[in-house]
Amino acid sequence: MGATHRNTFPTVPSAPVFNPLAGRRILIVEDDLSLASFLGSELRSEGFEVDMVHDGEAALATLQGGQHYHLLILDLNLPKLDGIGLLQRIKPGRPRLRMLVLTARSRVEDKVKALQTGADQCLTKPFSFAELLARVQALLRRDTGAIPNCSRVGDLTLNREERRVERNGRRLNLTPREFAIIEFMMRNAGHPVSRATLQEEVWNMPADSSTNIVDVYMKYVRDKVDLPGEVKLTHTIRGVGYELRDA
Amino acid sequence: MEWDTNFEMPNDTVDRDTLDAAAGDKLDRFYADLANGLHALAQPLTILQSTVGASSTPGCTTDRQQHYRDVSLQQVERACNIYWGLQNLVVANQAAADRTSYDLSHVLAPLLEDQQAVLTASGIELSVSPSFGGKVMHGDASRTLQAIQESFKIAASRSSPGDVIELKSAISDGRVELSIANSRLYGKVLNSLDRLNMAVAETNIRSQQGDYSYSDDPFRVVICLPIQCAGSL
Repeated sequence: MGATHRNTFPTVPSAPVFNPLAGRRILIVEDDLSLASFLGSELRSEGFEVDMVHDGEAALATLQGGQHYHLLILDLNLPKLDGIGLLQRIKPGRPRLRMLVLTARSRVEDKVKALQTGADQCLTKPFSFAELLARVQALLRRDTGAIPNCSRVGDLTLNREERRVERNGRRLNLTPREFAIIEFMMRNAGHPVSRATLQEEVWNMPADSSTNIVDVYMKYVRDKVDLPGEVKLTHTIRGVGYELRDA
Repeated sequence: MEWDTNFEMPNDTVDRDTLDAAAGDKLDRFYADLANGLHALAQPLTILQSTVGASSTPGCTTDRQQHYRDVSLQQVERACNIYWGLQNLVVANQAAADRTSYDLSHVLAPLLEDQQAVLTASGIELSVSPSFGGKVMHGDASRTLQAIQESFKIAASRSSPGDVIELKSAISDGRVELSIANSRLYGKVLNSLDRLNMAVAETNIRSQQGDYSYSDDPFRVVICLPIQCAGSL
């Protein structure tokens, strides 16, 4: 993400370096190629990963594929399969997927129908990208909460901006994946986190029970966080997954 | 706004309900076309609202401002085209079509000459069959020209070098049927501006008691228009 691009909209503070939402993956479903391209370009410059499709059937195929998305930006007026039909097809299987609906119709009934079908928010065209960005950030923050730069669980500390993790003054040498696991576990400290959730959030892929990749990586993390003689911070929750907590 | 409610039905015994239903259908179609046109206009306006806001934000670099200016220029042009399409749609619905005699070949000859030049330059072949000489039509030559011209324009925009655009004609039941088609599949639907312009074309043809239909992919337009009756020559 270029710092230059990040300073172009009033909703983005001029100085921040750490963007807790950077890397979140968004699928834009919009049949107007110019608008889709513009929104995609602007969202990418804000640090998001963006994919685009231009009709309802392509969107359905993409969502049924292997890619995990955090947010769907969806135009209601789509060829082949309209936005409401798409919402009806995908929402039951993906209850955690955030959905922002775009519509050029300002009728209350249209918005109510979209919201009742599973959309989290509606935005009426024409709109300003600044407003879209603010809504995207608000929706994604619902999942992450307000993320501080530093987190602490017991004597384990994490600095997101510096990508540094220390335990009792000892710096942990972590791979990017291990860092991502600890970072996500710290955001959910004190709560069990399922293997499926870790797969979706850290690996950015749909839950797949046939792989033990999460368990393998959790062992790496555990070996680095909990040295012999230290209070155990990583815990296995039988039948669920893992939890990071102080004792 | 004054509406063209002067429907000339082919049968003088048509009752009032049928006339009212026809007027209702026409109005419904106009509202639907208008809604689609406004939807089309919302797209460039969204981009313009965003670029104008972004480029005037403190801290926006010169390069970025230039980028937003370039995007804005494209979108202003697009918005204007949609606006003109909407204006043409309103006029086509508001004003009655001419009811005069004209020779279809006189309308088509210069158009085909232009199209031949444009398409050949793009590596696209124009196939015309059979000749249009001597077909005297009863209606509005300028509206017929707009509809055929728009159909060619969209057919060309959806064609690639090596494609063939065919213009065919046939006569039956006192009507001439024209079809403009490219048989190649592209897997694409018409964009919103094309749909708006096709709606104008459809209105122009229907206002002459003609029929009009099109399919997106492969692209094909069929226009049916009444031929001049012998008794009214």
